[in-house]
Amino acid sequence: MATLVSYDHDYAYPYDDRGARCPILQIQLTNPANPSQTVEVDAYIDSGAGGSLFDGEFASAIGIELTTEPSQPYSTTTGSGLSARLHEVIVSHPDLGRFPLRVGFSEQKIWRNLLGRDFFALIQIGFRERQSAFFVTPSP
Amino acid sequence: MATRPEMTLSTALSLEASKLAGAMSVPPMAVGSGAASVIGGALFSTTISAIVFFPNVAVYGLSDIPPTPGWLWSAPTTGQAPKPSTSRRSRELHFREVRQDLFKALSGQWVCVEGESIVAHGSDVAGVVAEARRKGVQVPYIFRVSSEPEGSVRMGL
Repeated sequence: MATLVSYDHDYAYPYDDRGARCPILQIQLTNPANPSQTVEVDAYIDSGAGGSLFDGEFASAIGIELTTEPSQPYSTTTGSGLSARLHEVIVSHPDLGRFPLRVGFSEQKIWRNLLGRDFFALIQIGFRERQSAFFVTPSP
Repeated sequence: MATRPEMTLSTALSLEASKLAGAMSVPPMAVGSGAASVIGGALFSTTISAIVFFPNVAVYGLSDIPPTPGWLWSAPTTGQAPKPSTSRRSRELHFREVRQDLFKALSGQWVCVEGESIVAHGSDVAGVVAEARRKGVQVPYIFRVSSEPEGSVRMGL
């Protein structure tokens, strides 16, 4: 029996800096202790990532001291690891709302911010790769 | 009616890696019924066996056909079309898309874009954010211009 899922919003994959269409969402990261400290960033939607991860430089950019939380190891596909510090931030998007989310801020440079399955638990999301589009409903 | 030569596994293996990689992301089970009936009537009447046994090969063939909304993999709907994105950064995204030449010169740097302007750029986010705020941007939109090797396949980590 088929399962039907409906979505409220559709998004075309935007172009990344190399001119390739990628499933990227522009989201805002806000320091919950100081809402005026907000930046907007590109985040790749990554269903293979166990948790959301952002470049650690964004923590200081919104007034969060990176090292006040313990280090959390992250493992990569190469088997090598990187470490991040988990901090609670407000993740927001005009269509999806505002979510408090404990995300990783990397201690090393990373090329892409990732929205992982912790973010997926807050919304419903579907992909249509051939059309370079994804679909979102702002409820789990 | 257009015809094409039969596609064998060996020819499929010689296809461009990027297209083949794209084809492999398609679930093989999607090929069974809908694909075979559409292709069989139109282009691939001699390749049905290849479709059945080498689904990725068949789907590669399909990738030559321009995507048609609603064809083959219809998005689940309840009769209402989803609302289009209301990205507050549509101007910035368009600017990034059409002026990639500007950004190539900033390879490896953090960049803040507001509208169709590069407001600040540099090697550390905090500096770029501070400069953007000095210029009146309350919520800076920041991204890093990749300096990864051209042609590399991007993965999350």
